[in-house]
Formats: sequence, structure tokens, C-alpha cells
Amino acid sequence: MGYGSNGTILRVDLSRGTAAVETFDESFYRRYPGGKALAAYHLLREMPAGADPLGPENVLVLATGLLTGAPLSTATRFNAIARSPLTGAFGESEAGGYWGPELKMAGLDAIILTGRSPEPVYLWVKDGVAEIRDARALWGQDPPTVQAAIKEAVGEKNARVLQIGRAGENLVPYAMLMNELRHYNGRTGMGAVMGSKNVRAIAVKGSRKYLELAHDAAALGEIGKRLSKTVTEHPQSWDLRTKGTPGLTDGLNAAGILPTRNFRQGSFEQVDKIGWEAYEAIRSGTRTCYACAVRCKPEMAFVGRYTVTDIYDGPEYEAVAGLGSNCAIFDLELVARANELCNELGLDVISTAGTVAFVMECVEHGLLGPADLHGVDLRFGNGEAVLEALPLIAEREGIGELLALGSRRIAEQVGGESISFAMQVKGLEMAMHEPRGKVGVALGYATNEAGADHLVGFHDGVFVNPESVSFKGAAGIGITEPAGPLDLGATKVRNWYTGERWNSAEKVLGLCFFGPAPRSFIQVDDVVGAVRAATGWDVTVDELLEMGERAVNLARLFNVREGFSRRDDRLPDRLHEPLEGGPLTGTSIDRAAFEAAVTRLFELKGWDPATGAPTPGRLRSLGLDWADGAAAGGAAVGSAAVGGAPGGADGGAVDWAVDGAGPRGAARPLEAE
Amino acid sequence: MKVHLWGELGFYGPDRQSRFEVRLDGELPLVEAIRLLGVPEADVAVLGLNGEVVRLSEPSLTVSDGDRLDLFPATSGG
Repeated sequence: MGYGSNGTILRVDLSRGTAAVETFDESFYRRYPGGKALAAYHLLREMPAGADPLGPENVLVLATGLLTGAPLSTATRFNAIARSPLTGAFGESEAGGYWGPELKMAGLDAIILTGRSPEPVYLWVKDGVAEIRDARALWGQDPPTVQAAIKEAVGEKNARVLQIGRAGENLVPYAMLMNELRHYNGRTGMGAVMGSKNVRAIAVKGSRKYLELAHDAAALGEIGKRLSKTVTEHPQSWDLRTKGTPGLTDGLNAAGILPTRNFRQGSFEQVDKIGWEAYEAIRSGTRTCYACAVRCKPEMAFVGRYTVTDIYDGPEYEAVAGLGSNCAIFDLELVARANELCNELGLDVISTAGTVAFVMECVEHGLLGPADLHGVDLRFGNGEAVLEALPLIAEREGIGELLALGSRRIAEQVGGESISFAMQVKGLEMAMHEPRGKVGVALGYATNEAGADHLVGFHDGVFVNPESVSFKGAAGIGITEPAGPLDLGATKVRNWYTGERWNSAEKVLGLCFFGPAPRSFIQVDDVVGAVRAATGWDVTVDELLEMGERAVNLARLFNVREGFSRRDDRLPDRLHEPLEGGPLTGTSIDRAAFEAAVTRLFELKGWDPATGAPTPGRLRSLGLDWADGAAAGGAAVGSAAVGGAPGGADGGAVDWAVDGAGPRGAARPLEAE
Repeated sequence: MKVHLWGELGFYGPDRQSRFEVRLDGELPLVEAIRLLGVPEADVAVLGLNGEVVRLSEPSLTVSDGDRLDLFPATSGG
């Protein structure tokens, strides 16, 4: 009987052209079960302090979650983690789709990429056997061509392909990874990191079944079957299934928190042109991820003023708001085409749209002029200019050279007051959620190690009314007291802290944000039950919360080592200024109250409120004593000992003298090639 | 009265319909109208009455035939 994991990872040294499989024991997995925890563990241990994010020393870890690939709705996710070229901080992005489950079925829990290949390559992994293949002919090709060519070359039409686009090839610091064309690790530039290693794609195919790995396959299968039947019986998952994320637009607008004109306003006067009714009129279908009954992914295909195909995903809500209201573009067809372009080029749509909106405002203030823009009239409302600019970003030509910097670096060049309205934290552009109307989101934006991401905790609305479906769903993680959306008091901070640990646990387990309560339909007891069935471990919700917290602390330790501190946990100044339009006009986040909330949050986390660094006591309680030294000195332990002869014929022994849990593993030779 | 139950509130519509019309005889307090629709008050975050955002706590608010009522949930990211 297994414990839900393969116990193996694949390490690929691209500089040496070698690959080897390493094994870890069950006690190691109980501490670092997968996803964010497993990947952050390897990044912290193996990347030398101060490594260039786009240099060979950076370490890109692609890690499935503990449950990824289980026949359980939303158990589809994998994490891409490395030092971010956009922020210099902990880089992190998750995606669903099919690649993560396939990797698990190929007998691997994670792939670690180190070094840099001298020539473009792709990686072909089948049932634990890896091969580095020539990709020179694929470099520069569009994603569908690359995907089809690889599937044909490996002779597996059902192989799953993870790849970068032109933006990743050209090292745009907010380039993304895509799998099966429709699923994206969008945030923090993981596509640029893979591109810097000269890896265009990783194709995987496996023949295992997840249930073969499970401790109690029958029990896990039963939970999965039961849950798949209840998707349409719960209001939150019913909504995700029937409308997907584009159903959010109108409600956020009505609440006064739809980002508009670079977050200057909170509602959009022409929301009906990008809202749900407009979307529904041209939505062509919905798709899903591996074994997921939620089926939340919308797509569009139409021939009109623009031709848009359903090769890629979306536009999701983030694109609708980011390229729509936040750029003052009230044309959903144009937004759909711009979204398609971002996907085709391999650009993170959130950072792309945020950077474009920021430049539009710089133009409005006269901080950037025609000479800076190379003839592209990038002002609010000019959608055609956005379509013109996007390919130039991926090619880093003309205006694209400027836009490819991202909003913070542009602000540093432009100077003046521009940094005050560069809507980013640590260099990562804010997602399309206005925190002046839900201040817990601001806590997440400011303190998240990767920057201003919206999927690092649960938004305030979840915890407002104790009689609501979402609040009742949060009871299982110990949330019992409500707090209003603008409240920054002790209850809000405590709720945020609990929610963040649970959210991080989802990333460790490989569950999508749209699976578990309080955001959706899988109740906390069922998550615990699924982990118990998969592993045979007597886990409790508290242990899952601790797994999530351990992963957050690893990320924080990485940032501490790279010179980040509390001074980097700050919001853009605009959020401390009044919103200018919509029902929340005049609302701002009080600086003193916010700083007090951050202090309170760090105290709850066991972090030094002055520096934001985890205290030795907290690290001890999480079993991370070993990491204290790694954070201070940046010693890369055990990173270069694997490899051997070209082709990986001689894996060599590795002694993983790791942490207090005492796991020890050994590399074994690559099985073939 | 035209009703639009946005987002997850559509779950409570007749046959899971998000948009529908109901016939009202005379004026009805807003709170009562929502109860009549079967939508849990606790899950309603924002109300729109004839295109204007209103508060459920305003006791004087009433609806009648010819009005348009929009109910929005607390959306929580994604």
C-alpha cells in the first residue's frame, strides 16, 4: 500500500545533459507532501543565495501536489517554483489541466531543472524515463505547432505537453508556462526561467493510475465519486460550473470593487459591455481539467471584427477586468482577442494587463511620450493599441522593450510620482481584485512572498455573515467569528491567517482554489478524509494547516535570504488614497491600521514584526530548524551531487542529510537513454 | 418584477434560472420580496434596485411590478 506519492523526483542538469531519479521516504513526504512545500524545500536548499533568476544557478521545480491525479474533482494542480525574474523574490505559480496528473502517473512527483542547455531542447518523460531532445527546430514556433510536433515525434498522441511561448524564449520576466495550451502557470515569470534554461517544452506520459499509489484506493475512489455528484448541488460550485470566473464581473462592479482605469475607480460605467450577459452571448463552450466535475473553464470562438479561436482558454475574469475595465476598454471581442494573444505569446495576462494599464496612466500624466512608445498610441480605451503592443512585448521590440520590464521597473525608469500608481507589490502586478473594498486581500497582496497575488487566502466576503454558505464552510478550519470587509481588526487578521494556511495547504495537496470550502463545495472533512485515504496517515485539519504554514515559512525564508524584509511587504500608495468612483468612492486603506494589522499577522505567524523573518522558535515548531542556516548563509546542500555520465547512465549515490525528520534518499540510475 | 440573481445566487432561482420575472400584487417590502424568492439573505452582499445600489437594511424600500431587482453574492476571488 502506498501513501499517495511516487516517492521519486526527476532531476535534470541541463548544463551537463544528465538526468537522474531520486527517491525520498514516507517520513519526508509527511513533512513536505507535495506542491508548494516540496518545491519550496528544494528551491531553498539548492539554489545558491543571490543567484541570477535567469542564470543557470536558478532552480526551477515543477511539483505535483499530494493528491494531484487522484480521481477527485479539482485535484489537478502542480506548482512551478523558482527565483522570479520579475521580482527577485520567491517565484510561484500553479496550474491545473492535465500535465500534473500525467507526471504523477509517469511515476514522478516533481521535476527539478538546473543549469542551462547550450542549445534549445525539450524533455520527454515516459514512465519515469527521461530523455533530453533537440528543440532547435521548435524554437520560435507557435504553441500549437510545438505541441503537435512533439506529440508526433514521441509517438504518443496522449502525451501532455508543458511549454513556453515566444515571451518565455525571449525572457520576458512575466512569461508564463502553459500545458495543453489551455492551462497556465501565469504568475512570476516561470516561463522566462524555463526559457533561460533553453527548455522549450516538457512532454510527459505515464501508465500508472493514482489509485495504485493510494493507501485505501476504495475509500478514496468513493469520496471522488460522491463529490462529483454533488458539484451541481452546491451554490458555489454550481456557479463555477455554469458561469466560471467571468460570472464575477458584474457583482464586483456593483460592490464598487471592479478595478477600473489602473485601480483609480471601483466601477466601470460600461460594465454591461464586458459583463456576464455580454460574455454569455459569445461564449462558445466550457472545458475542464483532469477528472474535475466543476468544469469551470470558459472559452470563446467567433469570427467578427476579430477572429478568436478556442485553441486557448478564456478570457477568464482576470483578463476581462485586466484588459477591459482596468484599461477602460469596453469591447469584449477585443478583450477576447487580446487574451488570446497573451496566451499564444506565453504572457501572463495579469502582469501584461497591469503593466499596460500603468503605462496608459503614465501617458495620461505626460510621463511617457510618443518617443517612448515608438508610435503606439497606448492610452486608456485604445484597444487597438493594446493589440499592436502585445506581440512587441513578446519580441521585446519597440514599445515592447519598455513594457517587458513590468510596471515596477518602468516606474523606476520613469520616476516622479509614478511608483505611487504602479499597482504592484515586490514587482508583481496586482490581480484584478480591489483591496480597498476587501482589506484582507490587501494583507495578502502586501505580505505574500511572491507578490500581489489574489489566490493566497480567502477574500473577505467569505467571512462576513455567519449564516452564509461560505462562512459555514469555513467552520471546519476553525473560523468562528465574522468580520466585515473593511475591518482590519484582530478577528480579520486571525481569519486571514487561518485562511492563508488553508490556502497554502491546498497548494501542497494539489487542490484547486475552486475545490475546497470555504470557496467551493468540498467540505473540510472530505479533504481530510481524502488525504487519509490516499496516505494512510492519521492527519487532522490542524496537521494540514501546519503543512500549509510550513510551505509559507519556506517561501518566507527564501525571501529573507535574498534580502527581503518587512519593508517589502507594502502596498502601492494608491491603495491608501480614496477610490474615485463607484459605490465605495472615498474609501481608502488607513496606513496606520494596515501596519498594525501586518504586525498582528506576523505575531500570529511567529515572525519578527520588525523584520518579517520567522523566529527560531517558530522554525523549530515547524521542524524547519535546518532552514535557519540555509536562510542565513544560503548554503546549497546536496544540489550538485547528482548526475554522472552524459545521458544519466551513472546516477551516483546521494546522501540527503536533510532535516530533523531524518529522511534519506538515494539516487538511482536513469532507467534508460 | 424582473429579477436577476447573479453569480451563485442563481442556484436559488426557479429551475436554477438566474433571470426571470415574478408578478407582484401591490408593493412589497424588499426584505419580504427576497424571502419570497427563496434566496438566503445571508448570502446576498449587494442589492440593485432599478440600477441603483441599495441597502437591505433600509426598511422603507419596497418593490412592485415593473421594478428590476439585482441580487449579488459576496464574490470571493478566482
